[in-house]
Parts: sequence; structure tokens; C-alpha cells
Amino acid sequence: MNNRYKLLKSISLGSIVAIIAVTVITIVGELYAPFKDWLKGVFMHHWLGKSALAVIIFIFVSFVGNILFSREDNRAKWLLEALLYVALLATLFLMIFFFYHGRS
Amino acid sequence: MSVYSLLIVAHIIGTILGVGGATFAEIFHVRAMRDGTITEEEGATLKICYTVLRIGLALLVLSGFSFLIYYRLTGQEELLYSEKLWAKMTIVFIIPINAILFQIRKIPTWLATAVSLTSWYTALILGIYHDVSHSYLEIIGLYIVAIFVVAFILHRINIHYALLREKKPETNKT
Amino acid sequence: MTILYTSLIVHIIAGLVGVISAFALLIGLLHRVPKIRSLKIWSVITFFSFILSWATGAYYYVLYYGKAVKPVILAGGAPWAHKIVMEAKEHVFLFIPFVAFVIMVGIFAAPDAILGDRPIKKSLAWLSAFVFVLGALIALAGVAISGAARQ
Repeated sequence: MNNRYKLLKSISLGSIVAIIAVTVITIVGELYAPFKDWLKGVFMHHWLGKSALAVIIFIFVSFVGNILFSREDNRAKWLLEALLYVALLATLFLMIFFFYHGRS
Repeated sequence: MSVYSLLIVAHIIGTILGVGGATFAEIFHVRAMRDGTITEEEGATLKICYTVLRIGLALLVLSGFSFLIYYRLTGQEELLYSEKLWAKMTIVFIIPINAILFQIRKIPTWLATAVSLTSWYTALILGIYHDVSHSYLEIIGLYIVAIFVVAFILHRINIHYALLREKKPETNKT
Repeated sequence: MTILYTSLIVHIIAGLVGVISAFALLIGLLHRVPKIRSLKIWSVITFFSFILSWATGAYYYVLYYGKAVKPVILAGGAPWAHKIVMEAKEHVFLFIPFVAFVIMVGIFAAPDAILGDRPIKKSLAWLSAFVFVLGALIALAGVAISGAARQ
């Protein structure tokens, strides 16, 4: 039972960090062209680069989280709520960013 | 049978199930509420109506978007910017949102039933009439007015049954 | 061309199936006594639909969209469909598979909490609502982008 909650907590943390990473990588790529070019160079396409980095970060953070969280740790609900807020804010932030960036 | 004909059949079946499900859900709801309570049996019947309605919605959305893919792949992209299409998509999007709000009790029953019924019939009408010349805002405006007209009619029907319910005990006494 | 078109069709239909199953999941979670078995099925369908949509979307987007569709949209009457709508859509889409995965694991990990109506159930319902609404908005954005290819 506790092991399953531990997995849920780890992947919630992994998703939170992956979503923040996608948002930061996207904004940096739009504002600093050499970074977007680097993504294209390494991953064939900048979007594939963002996708691959998101998956790698998710797996790494989930793995670290699985080591760090104890079975008794009771923060599953807190992490799920944090994921919701981060996902909502990141979505709104990217929409607003592209609304202004796309018009300039 | 061509792909396009198949899509038309699927779209029509989806609409029939949706409109039929919404209509019968409302009829059974009004009928069930004649005595003021919904019994287990009546609840089960309503549940079947909601399931049929949701199957219709899924079929309508899948076949509807398949039409859009068809337009995209056959070079008819200009159809995707039709105001009628966007009004229909908005109304179809309102149907599940209304169901969610109703489920979490964030919308009163009178409004939820009126929105469901009006949305399905508006989607049906917009699907039947090909040459709708109204703008997006005009269609949505008429749709909002229709919601309140339907709500008023349903309210009158409910009052009618409530009055009958009040009269019944008196009749029994005499 | 056939593979490209197939990938576009699968991308759209799989995404829609994901949106529909996220809605079914949400409605299921909102019931007083949810059916765990059907929640598990819907959560698996939601997650794998979005993975399929992601993979096929990547194929179409990387190999075809940038070369053939994007220039047409930018030269047409609605360049905002790419500059604003497509740019936002392609990036916010990346959030959905992760959230869908968390929901799926949550339902498999905490059936007792869901049946016991504990706070985790509410959190999973909110996350399902997020996936449903964002998925539906992305589908509508897709229509706007496709329409702009000829505007």
C-alpha cells in the first residue's frame, strides 16, 4: 500500500518538475535563438528536444523522488494539488507569452 | 459505402442518441418528480438515458471531427472557419461542461436541464440547416435566449405538477 | 503522403478519444461511490490515447507541418493561427501525458482513498478536469490552425 503511494508521490514530483522544465526551456528557446538552434541540432527538431528533455527530467526526478520520499510521508494529496496548480499556471503563462510574443 | 456516407450515418446516429437521450431524460425526470421524489427504479431509468446521451455525444464529437479531417484532406479548409461550425462546436463543448457542473451541484437543476435540452436541439438545428447566414454571436445570442425560454416552459410544467400534488391530498380527504 | 495523412488522422482521433475518456473519468470520479474498475479502464485509455496522439503528432509535425503547412499559414490571412495558436498548442500539449500518467497511477495506487471519498479523490478529479478542458481547447485550436492553411 505505502509503496504505491510512494510511486504516486514520486511521479507527481517528476511531472511538476517536467512541466516547469518544458515552460522554462520553451521561453528561453524563444528569447535566446542559439538555445533553440542547439535543441534543433541535437534532437533534429526543437519540439522533439523539448519532448525528450521533459521525459528524461520526469524519469530522473521520479527516480530521485522514489529514493527521497519515505513510505510514511503523507504528502500525496499536497503533491497532486501542487501538480494541478503548476500545470494550470504553466498553461496560462505559455498562452499569455505566445499571445504577446506571436504578435511582436 | 464511401467514408463520407459512413461519417454522415455516424453523425446522424450520434445526434439522434443525444437529442433522444436528453429529451427522454427530461420527460422521465418531470414524470419522476410528479410525486416530489425520485425512486430507485426511476433513478435507474434516468441513468440509462444519461448513458445513451453520453454515447451520442462521443459519437457526435468523433464523427464531427472526422468531417473536419475530411475537409482538411480534401482541400476544403475554408469550411473550418464557418461561423456556424464554431457556434456548433461551442454549444457541443457546453454540453459536457454543463454535465460536470450539474454533477458537482454548481448549477441549479432548472438551468442544467434547460441548457442540456437547448444545446442538443440547437446542435440538431444547426446540423440540419446548411445555409445559416447568422453570425457566431447571433447564433450564440439566440441560443442563450432559447435556454431561458426552455427553462421557463420546464418551470411551468413543474409548477403544474406541484399544484396537482398539493390538490391530491385534499381530494383524498373529501 | 499516405503515412503522413494517417499520422494526422490518428493524432486527431487519438487525442479526441483521450478527451472523451478524460471526461468519462471525471464523471466517474464525481460519483459518490465510484466504480474502480471502470475508472482504471478509462484512466488507461486516457493515458495511452494521449501517448499515441503525441507520437503520431510528432511524426506529422516534424516531417510535414513545418515544411508544407506553416509557410502557407504564415503567408495567408490568419498568420496568428501559427504564431499564437499553434505555438501555444504544441507546447501546452506536452503537459497532458504527464498529468494523465499521474491520474492513472493515482487510480491504481489509491482505490481505497477514492472509495473512502478522501481528499486524493478530489485532487484526481481536478486533474482529470484539467486534462479534459485543456484537451478540448487543444482540439478546437487544431481546427483553427487547419482552417488557416487556406485562409
